[in-house]
Amino acid sequence: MKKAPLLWKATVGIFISLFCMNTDASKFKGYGRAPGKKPMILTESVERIEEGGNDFLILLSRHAALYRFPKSNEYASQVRSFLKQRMKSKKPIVVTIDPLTAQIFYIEDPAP
Amino acid sequence: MKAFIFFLGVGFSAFAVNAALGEIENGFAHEQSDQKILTISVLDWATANSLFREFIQDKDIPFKYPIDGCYARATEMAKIAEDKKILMGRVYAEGILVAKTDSAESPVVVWGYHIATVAYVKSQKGDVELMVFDPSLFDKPVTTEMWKQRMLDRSSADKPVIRDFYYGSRFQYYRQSVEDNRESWSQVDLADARDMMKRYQPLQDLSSNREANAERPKAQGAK
Repeated sequence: MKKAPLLWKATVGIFISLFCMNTDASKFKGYGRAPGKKPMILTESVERIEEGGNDFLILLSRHAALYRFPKSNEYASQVRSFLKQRMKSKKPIVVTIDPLTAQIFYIEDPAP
Repeated sequence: MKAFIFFLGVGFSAFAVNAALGEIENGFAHEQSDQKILTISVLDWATANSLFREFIQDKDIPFKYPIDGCYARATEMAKIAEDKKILMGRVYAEGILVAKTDSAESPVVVWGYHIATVAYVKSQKGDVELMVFDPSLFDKPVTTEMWKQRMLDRSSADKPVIRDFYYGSRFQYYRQSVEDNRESWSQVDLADARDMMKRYQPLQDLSSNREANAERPKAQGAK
């Protein structure tokens, strides 16, 4: 009888953790980062979003490249609305990219 | 008689200057007071090629990192030309631009916009045409049409399109939608251009050999 509350607490704990992970909309993982690849981190506002063949193509202020985030990503629709919202608000975002392929590893809000 | 010679001299000088200058429309003329027409140099083909080679050989400009930094490269090219009393303009294309490059690391690049420098070039036949100087894509000056076509590579899944095309003075840095008309160099832009070039230099793909392919002036008498 004493073990039941513990099990219950653990279940609730795991559930809360998973729930928090899924609702953390401020960081999105894009392309996988190959070992040894040195990323570049850009903090800029979003100027334009295009939908390419397989990717969201993102134009950041002060850059000419269209950086790629995979549309096939499980969070694609959340990423689309996140980017549109940030483009509208002109708030900068932090984008971690592979500078040699323009692929995005992570998109997130700046640390508060 | 002296007055006649003076006016003849002035007239000849004016003719000589006009013969070496051409005009392009200023895409940055947002205000009534902004200059609508820009003046740029007319070069002979040999000078144009020699200038192009000088750009390619400038180790400070990371032409072999095509992914980003065209705005900074164009500024640096225009400054080099200006030092030689050559006035260049800037050409802009905006949209989804897809171009194959000779870089092994970035064989295809996708840009939201692309910028290069322009000047008029007089061919051996005497025709004068506006030519684009873009060592990130070509090994010699090319026509604006060739430049545009190069950025519409249809082999990519990303559908390329040019939505806007315009010119600006050598003093501009970014695009017409985010920048006012400029009539002199901005120290902030020049500093940013230097920073960008420093940042992108280590990322260059030095395996590409455009420098070796750059058109060299033919020896006199060569066919």
